[in-house]
Amino acid sequence: MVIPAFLVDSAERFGGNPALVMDGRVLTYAGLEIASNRMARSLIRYGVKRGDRVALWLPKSIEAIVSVWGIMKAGAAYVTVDPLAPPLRLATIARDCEIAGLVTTSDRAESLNPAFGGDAPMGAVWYADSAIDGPQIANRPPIRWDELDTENESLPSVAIDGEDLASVQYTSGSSGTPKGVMVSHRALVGQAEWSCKKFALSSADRLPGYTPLAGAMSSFEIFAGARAGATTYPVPARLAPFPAPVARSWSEQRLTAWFVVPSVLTMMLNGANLGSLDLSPLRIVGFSGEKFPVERLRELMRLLPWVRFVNCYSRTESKLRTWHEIKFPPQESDTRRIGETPPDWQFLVLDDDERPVPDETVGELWISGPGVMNGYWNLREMTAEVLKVIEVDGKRILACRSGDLVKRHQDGTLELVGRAGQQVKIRGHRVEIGEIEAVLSRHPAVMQAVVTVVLDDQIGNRLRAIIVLRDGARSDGHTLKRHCAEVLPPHMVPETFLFTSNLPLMSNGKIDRHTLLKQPDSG
Amino acid sequence: MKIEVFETTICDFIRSELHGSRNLAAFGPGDSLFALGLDSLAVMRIVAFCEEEFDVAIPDEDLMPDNFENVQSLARLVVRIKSDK
Repeated sequence: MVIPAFLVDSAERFGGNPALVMDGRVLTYAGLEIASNRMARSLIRYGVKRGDRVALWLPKSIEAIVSVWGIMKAGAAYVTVDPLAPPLRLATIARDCEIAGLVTTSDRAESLNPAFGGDAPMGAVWYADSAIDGPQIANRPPIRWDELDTENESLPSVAIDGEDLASVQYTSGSSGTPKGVMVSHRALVGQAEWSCKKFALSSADRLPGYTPLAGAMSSFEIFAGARAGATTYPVPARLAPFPAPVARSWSEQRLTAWFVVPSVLTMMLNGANLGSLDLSPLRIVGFSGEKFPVERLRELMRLLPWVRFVNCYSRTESKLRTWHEIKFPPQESDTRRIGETPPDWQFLVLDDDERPVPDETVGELWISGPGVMNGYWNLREMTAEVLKVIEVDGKRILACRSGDLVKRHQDGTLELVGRAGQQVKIRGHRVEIGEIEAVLSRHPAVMQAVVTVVLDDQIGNRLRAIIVLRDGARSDGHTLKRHCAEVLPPHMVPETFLFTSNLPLMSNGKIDRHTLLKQPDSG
Repeated sequence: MKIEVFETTICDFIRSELHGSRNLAAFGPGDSLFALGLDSLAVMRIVAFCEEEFDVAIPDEDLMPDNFENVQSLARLVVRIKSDK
């Protein structure tokens, strides 16, 4: 079973139903089917083959979503890159997985030429915004979106199966460059089917499209939504930073289900005056990806007493979404509970030697199931550290370590306790502290860099860098900030910089991050 | 204070704080802020700067895209709030 089958099916059953509504435009399921067929044919025409990768670097739009479907229908894997990320980051990812094509907008072309430096892997570039000729990137043919109208409407016959890659999803890499999680069709299909079932999605549902395309959670609207024949209302980039207009639009659009990171919900609680809006059609709110402070959750549940609230746990490397429905009043433990898993998945709690730990003991969560990643793109060693065959009850199963520390209680429930390593969430984005530190360390003036996370009530996690300069070297926060911004997306650029002559160490020689956290900001 | 002074001050802030990977030497009061790629933190930082620098309180209902189109619209917002005080 492959993901495009969802769209073909929904186009047949709900052809006249709106699939995407954005900026006053409506695309029905029949229209989305045709548009994505045409995109697939165009991709094939310009050399994209089964198994290739095609990247997307553009704000969310109807064309962007059409492209996601079109890329898969051409048998290729889609690779989304944060549109707020700098051009060099796109170039790094594009070269890493050797993309065969790129979908972007013409206003970005100018910045891409220097980033690719004349050496671009893709065969062609599609401009989602133009009915005019876009500029050339690295001498590759620029394709205008209206050229797609000349392609045949029917689904091209490309034989793919569940094992083919649907996507390569890049996430922050602790060694200093992003790493690509290889996701099969089988994995995405399983996740979408389960979400559809648990959320009881139907063609009558109306979903927001708040999560950026590059965020793994966007698969909820795009795939589970399509499975059900539901309507999605993607939030335009222009509106997204402003909670009050976004909440108002969600009320006007009469959305029935929200699936977002907790940061978005707290942003709405802080600035959207939710109590004044008619949200009566809303029946369920699912959240995932971050800890939701229980007082804010309580506040939200009080404002929306008719709505169901669900805490979903998921990892990019394991395409599942657990289900823990929370009853009022919510407890702290509800925000840390990893709930129900699909029947063909298994959760293991293991120690450093990969042996099961007893109940009520902290261990690392290992996940086994049909939606686990195929591995990290071109990172055999790293993959082998994370994806392993484990022996459980005399049976050997393939499991993926999550890096999450958990405890299984005697009643069988699982609780999230912390993280092994230095991975954090910044406004819903997954960040490896090590990646930022590696980037900083590449600057010639920097001898050592440590990045710490400071929790702010209103904003959440904020990044602070503590720098030891090389002997005789000079630099300042401004320079180092720019250095980071050249290659990192905005949410990974530290906000404040402290300079010190030496870092506190623990007795084992490792950096004492705990003490560093306590140092006051000096701007 | 003439509105140009507000515009210059805000422009200086944008150039030095929100450049990302770009060179904003030529960034002016009429240039699109959205083209720079605004996220929720950037909006919050612009608001915090304006409130601190110009001694105003920007109400929640003014946090909407039209006011953040460019530095000109931001300056107009600040001037309006100040004259309403």
